[in-house]
Amino acid sequence: MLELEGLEVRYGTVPAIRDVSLHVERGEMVGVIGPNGAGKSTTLHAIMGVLPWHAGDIRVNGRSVRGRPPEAISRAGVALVPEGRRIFGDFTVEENLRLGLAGRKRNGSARLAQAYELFPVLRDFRRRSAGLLSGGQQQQLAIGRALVADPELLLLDEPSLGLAPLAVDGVFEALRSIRERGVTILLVEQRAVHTVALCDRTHVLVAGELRMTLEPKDAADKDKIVAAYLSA
Amino acid sequence: MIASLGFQTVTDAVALGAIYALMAVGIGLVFGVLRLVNFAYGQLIMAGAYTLAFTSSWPAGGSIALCVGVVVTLSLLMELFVFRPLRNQSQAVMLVTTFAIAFLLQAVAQIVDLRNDQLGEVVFSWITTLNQSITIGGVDIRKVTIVAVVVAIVALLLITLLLNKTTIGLHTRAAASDFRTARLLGVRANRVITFAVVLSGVLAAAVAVLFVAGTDPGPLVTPDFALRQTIVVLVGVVVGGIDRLWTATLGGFAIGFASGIINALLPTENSVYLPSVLFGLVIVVLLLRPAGLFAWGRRGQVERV
Repeated sequence: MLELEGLEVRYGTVPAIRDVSLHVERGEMVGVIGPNGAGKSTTLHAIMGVLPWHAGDIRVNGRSVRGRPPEAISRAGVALVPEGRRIFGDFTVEENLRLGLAGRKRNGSARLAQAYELFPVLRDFRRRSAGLLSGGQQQQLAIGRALVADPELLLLDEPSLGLAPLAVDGVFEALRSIRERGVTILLVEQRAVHTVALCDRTHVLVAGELRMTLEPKDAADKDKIVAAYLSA
Repeated sequence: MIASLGFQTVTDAVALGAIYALMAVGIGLVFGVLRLVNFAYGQLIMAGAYTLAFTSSWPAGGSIALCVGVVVTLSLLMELFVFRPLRNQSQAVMLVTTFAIAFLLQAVAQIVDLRNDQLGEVVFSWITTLNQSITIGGVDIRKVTIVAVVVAIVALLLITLLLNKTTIGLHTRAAASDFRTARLLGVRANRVITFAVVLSGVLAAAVAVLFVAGTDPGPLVTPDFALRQTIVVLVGVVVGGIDRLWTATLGGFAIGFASGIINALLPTENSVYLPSVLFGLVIVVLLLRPAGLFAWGRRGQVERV
């Protein structure tokens, strides 16, 4: 479904990520954890066509996405829940969701209904300005907006960032149920224990390089996770 | 004070404000999606005016249709051959480029002008009727004043509907608000930009018709047609708040209305001071409200948890 092979992205002459290789098979949920500035968002931006890369390749369904603009990658079935949610605060909740349909022509209303089913609070507030929602509700909206596109591959960039603890649990609960629907997921997070426990496997990205791969059983082994973070 | 000016002056000022508001929308739409202040907007209007002058013997409908066609085509050519290749350049590069286009179009108009030295004083049969007055409640109003206000209101309503009720409108608003996120959601950059450029061109054509129709007797179509007005509207758009369409529009209306009123207040022999007074006022407004005259009502960007 998604393959990164020896990926290198530079900002100017400074490499942000080096030799990153990972793959996500259909139906899998794969995590990437790591400290701030490790290159997690950079990796997702490269996949979405926002950033050019200097070496290696990114393939979606076996085809390289090099040089394709973000809207083409989105239309090819990849959806991103961006860091900081990137909700259109002046738009209504429903307008935000309809934007998620940008790449899709058919079944718009059925997809909206599915999103409302997953996040009922969005239906209650659908005529409200999205900027008035709480952080947790905005995150639900950001995830719902990505889901209405009916993506084959869902990328999430720190969906728990800046949320109250209860809202964090809600986000991970939603991710679990999205996975059960068969959506392939690449999750970038800082909440290491949550992520390791939820994903089929979790890569640790430190200073632009993949250092270690953890399995769900490692979630209980805090020492191992800490060691992975500090392995600079 | 305004009451003492007389109804005639106020309605003329409203009409001027309405036309300036249309120009502000045209400039604001393109700024929204490209973050580009198109300094060549006035030359689009000028091209429209020349089209009207060349076809002055045609029936009004055909002449106006061709004017819209020419201006929209020019806008699209600008987008295709200038804005699109430069889209990832800095705003300064794009702004300077629009200056270059403005001068280029003006130079072309000068050549056209030299070859047709009668163009300046063409007579339009349909303009004469528009400049006749009708009397409402004992006050004389030129028909063209009413036409300008009606056209502006209808155009603003249509654009509001297009932006708020259609999918392409939603995509355009999203692109104006956060282009990168919009593209990540699958909004096609080229499509929304083309949409905004075409709308902006239609508005420029409408403004050309209203400017031409508003001058009596017979308009003087020259290479600097609409240039002064465009500069005033650009200032008005900034004063109103350029990052939102409705504040930019209000800014355009306000500066048009203000120039109409100031023009009437100044004694005829001092009307040369209109720009000085107007821009002095602008400086005061910008000092007092640097974010824009109509920037109130903006929600604070509070981070929600």
